[in-house]
Amino acid sequence: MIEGFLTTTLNKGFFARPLDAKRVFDLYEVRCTLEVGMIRLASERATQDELDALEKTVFRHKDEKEDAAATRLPHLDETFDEELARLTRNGEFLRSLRAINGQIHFVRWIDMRNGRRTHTQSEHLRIVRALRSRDSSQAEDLIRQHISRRLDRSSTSSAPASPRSTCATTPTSSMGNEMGETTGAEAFVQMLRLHGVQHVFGLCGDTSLPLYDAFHRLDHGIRHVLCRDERSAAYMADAYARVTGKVGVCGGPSGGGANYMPTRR
Amino acid sequence: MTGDARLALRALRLACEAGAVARDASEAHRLVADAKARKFAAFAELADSRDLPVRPERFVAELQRTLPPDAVVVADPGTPCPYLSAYLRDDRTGRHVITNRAHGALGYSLAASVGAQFGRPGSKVVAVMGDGSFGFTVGELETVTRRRLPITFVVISNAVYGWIKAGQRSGFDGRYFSVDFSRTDHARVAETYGVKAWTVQNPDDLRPALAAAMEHDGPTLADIVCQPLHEARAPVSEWVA
Repeated sequence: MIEGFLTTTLNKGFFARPLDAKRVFDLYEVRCTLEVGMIRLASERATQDELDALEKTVFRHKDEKEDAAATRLPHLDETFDEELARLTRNGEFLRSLRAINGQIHFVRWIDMRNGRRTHTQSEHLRIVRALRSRDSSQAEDLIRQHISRRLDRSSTSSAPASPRSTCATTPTSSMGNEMGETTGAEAFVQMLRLHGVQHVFGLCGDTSLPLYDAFHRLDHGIRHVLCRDERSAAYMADAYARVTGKVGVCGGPSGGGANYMPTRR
Repeated sequence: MTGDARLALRALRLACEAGAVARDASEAHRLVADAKARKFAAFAELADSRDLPVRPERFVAELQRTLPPDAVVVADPGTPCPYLSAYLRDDRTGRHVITNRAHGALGYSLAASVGAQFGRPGSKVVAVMGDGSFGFTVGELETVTRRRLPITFVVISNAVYGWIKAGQRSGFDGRYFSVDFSRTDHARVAETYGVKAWTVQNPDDLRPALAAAMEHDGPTLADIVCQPLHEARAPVSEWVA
């Protein structure tokens, strides 16, 4: 579980911690300070070979397809940061960076879906070139811009216009519970949507009531096929996967329903 | 040949390294052609059979004639899986015939055909099941009519868990125990769900009934009173040997 991102409430399930503007700002401020320090040390300590390798990595990431899996792109972004941390020769930077990135991850992931990607990669390239010419003050400036651009976007998109405003960008206004939190069910439905799921086979039980409520309220475009037995849901998803080559998705409540599904073949 | 690519390729490589491959493939081609010819000769003896109850071979022959070119066939364990695996000819590439032979759970095809139809909305989907499987998943016919899915269901009706009964015959000297059940009128059950249905007892009615069921613009079911598996000449090596 990512530090500080999910919380549990007894009998209610998992909740995503609200990503209000202030919190996002704080996280990015810490990250910015951390990375500026990192880049200074990296420009002093990294060998030319290491910087050549980093440049190659950035070039390789440029070729990554725009429609790569939603989780892949932030991963690439974080890989770059972590490479910088390694070049400082100080393991504590990497540890701190991972703690911060774990919390920023979700914002970043939404960011990538909103066309940030081309900028991100070209900025990375400029940073590496500044490092290679050992111009640490230029590299520091670039990374400061790189992160604050991010901050501008994040704070605009998650401006606390109403107490219900939650994630940095949400495709619908009906996200969040009365506490202004994104529920696990809502995050799950959005994950399905971002992974390109078009059909879900299943039926609702007590323990999946919040999930079905999220299906009802959110604008996700997924077609739910109500079936009459969880075993059937598993069989439907199985054949769906076989004829489409995509992942088949079936769902049922924990307890009886979940036990019916695994014996699908 | 169907298999996990990595496992299958490894098995092939090991077989090749062990010298199982002849340098001249013509002998292998001849062996395969002979085996195929023998298999389909046995099939042909019953493919036009007018015996009652309907022989599974006759059913496969008529299904082959009536399947549209784009059909997806989902086959349950029991009579459908061994008969269609052995005798249904399909020279298309890609996935068009689905059977759940891995664990062989009954009740697969009726539900699985729903998933296949959502996955290939433009294709004709045909589910072939035994009456045992029908009983497992019949409730899903409501889903089919609610979503107006034009699937054709074929029930091989023989009032027996035939695969198991055949196992009791071949491996336990015919000491049959708890494998027979009574006959259900599957066509009438289907009609109560709003599925258009045909009952076939006479082999000569197979072709027109299957053709009409596949052409109908909505869910259909053909209930075929068929020879029990343990009495049939099923293409299952364990029983044949």
